[in-house]
Amino acid sequence: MKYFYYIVLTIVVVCCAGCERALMTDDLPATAPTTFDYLWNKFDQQYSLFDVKGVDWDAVYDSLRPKVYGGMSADSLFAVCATMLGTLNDGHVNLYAGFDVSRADSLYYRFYSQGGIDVNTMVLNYLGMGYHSTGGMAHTALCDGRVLYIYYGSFSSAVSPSLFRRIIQSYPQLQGMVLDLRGNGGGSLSNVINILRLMPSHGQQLYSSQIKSGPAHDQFTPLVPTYAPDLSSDTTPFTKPVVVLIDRGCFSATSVFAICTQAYDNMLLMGDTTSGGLGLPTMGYLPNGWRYRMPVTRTEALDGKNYENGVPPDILLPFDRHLAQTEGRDNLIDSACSYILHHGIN
Amino acid sequence: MNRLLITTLLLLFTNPLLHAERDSSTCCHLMLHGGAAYGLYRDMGTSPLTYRGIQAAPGISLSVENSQWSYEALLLTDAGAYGLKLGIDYIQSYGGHPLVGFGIWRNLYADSRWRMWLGGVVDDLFDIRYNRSLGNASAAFGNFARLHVDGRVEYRLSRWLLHARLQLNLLTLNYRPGFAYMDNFDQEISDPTANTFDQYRSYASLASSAHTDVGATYCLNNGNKVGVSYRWTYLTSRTTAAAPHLFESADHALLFHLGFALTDKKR
Repeated sequence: MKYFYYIVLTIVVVCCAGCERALMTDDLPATAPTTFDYLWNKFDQQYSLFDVKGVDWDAVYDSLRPKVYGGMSADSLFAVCATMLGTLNDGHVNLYAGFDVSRADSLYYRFYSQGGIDVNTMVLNYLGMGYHSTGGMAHTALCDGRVLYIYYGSFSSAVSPSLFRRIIQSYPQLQGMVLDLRGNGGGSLSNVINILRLMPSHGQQLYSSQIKSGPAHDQFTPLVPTYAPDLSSDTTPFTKPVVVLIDRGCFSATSVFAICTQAYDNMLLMGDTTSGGLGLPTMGYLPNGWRYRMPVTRTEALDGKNYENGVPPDILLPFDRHLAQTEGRDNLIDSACSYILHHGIN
Repeated sequence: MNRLLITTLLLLFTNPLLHAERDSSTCCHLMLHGGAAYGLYRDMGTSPLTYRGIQAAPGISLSVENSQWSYEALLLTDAGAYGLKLGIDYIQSYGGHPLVGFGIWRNLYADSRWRMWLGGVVDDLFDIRYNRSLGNASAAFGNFARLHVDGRVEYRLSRWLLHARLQLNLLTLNYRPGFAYMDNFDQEISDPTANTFDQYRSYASLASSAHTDVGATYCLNNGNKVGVSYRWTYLTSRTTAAAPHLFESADHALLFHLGFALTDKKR
């Protein structure tokens, strides 16, 4: 009887050691139909912007699913899946295979066809020779030192409050600042906040956001407000006018920065509508090892609107490419300087 | 309320230990554990695929035992790299899983060779997974506060002590990423630390893990001991519908043990 217990327990232990084979089901097969269905379902349940994008996801499935069959080539499957994701026209939606990456092509064509900046003109005639570069920001003084011009090409380039403060302190005669974000495709929200840490804060709300909480298209957590960050320590806020230049090339974190300007009295948007992209993306794998990216949050500006498809400027001013190419002038920078020197923002 | 809870726990855990120290048959060991494991896991929040990999598994524990009771406080961890190859893509991830726990067992049967123990274990497992190719879902944390029933049978063979152990989970309080599965919710702006976990969810589950162990220990003249064991652990969220995404892991570990006697009594 005594041996019986030990033998039984040992058998149980040894048997259990292989139990995960019975308990853990096999991976989904990496076939084309399984992969397509998995991708469609993931987006159906987790994508946060169907209503804003005006897409009937079931209809998309009905139209594309017949094109998927077992044994189809990886290239063909990629093309069908990319077409499906392309209907969302969302710059935060991608499909990554080892051999290709899908994009929201129509969005990208719009970036370039309506590009709001001529970099040659900006560099040669505004930044000029000997401009400074600090924390991803190229900067110089314009209008006899009265206007600080900063070109910030990507929120992926880290800028700290101390570096930003150093830039401002380098130009003691300032009457205002032109923050040129044209073509800035986004990056880290931390850098958005780092810049705002030098702007006047009284705890005002910047925007509110929510995140998907269940599989239904309208299943979200309640809206949660985000407030202006506290001023960086030992800093007096920059209360002079700030004109932020935006265009169709602005996306993601840059659009977030754009809606944040609503909360500051001394900031103003000038240029063209951004390309939006306010939903924050998550990522995952498919049964065949490809990866997808999709937004799972949505953001509401201070005025209660969802600018996922683009943040409009306070002053709409299309870029004059002809002027740039014939006279080497950037009408947005000129207008921003003029606005600061002659009007102020309030 | 907290004071009452703390007092109760102190009485529960310290009183038997103090009592044990008065018992002439008490032996106390500081145990060092180390070894390697083959681990596998699947987290449907980011992937339907099963990762497989190698883990290192160090740990330390303090065990106190007399003829009637056995106690153990332990701090274990394992950390490893996982991967899988699909076509031309190689997917890689990393993980670490520290665990703290306390167990108490009652001796049910003993003779010159055999002893059988039955008891309970409470532990807390913190699970960290990292896959840099997943953007805002790169890091995933999970915390599992668990209560187990635990049984052990020992057979003494001269200086050798053979054992087999089976631990079954009763209740687990899970803390895992929520439905959207994102570790970078934008509330980072007002409070970066808190909002990393903002969309995480808590839920309870029953019978969500198992642990088995077989091994042998050699007792030295000076009361110290060395041992080797094979351990299998399994954790799943299959047993609850409250989990936003299926998560399960298993590992097979070969562990070596060094026990340093802290009392004069030899076993």
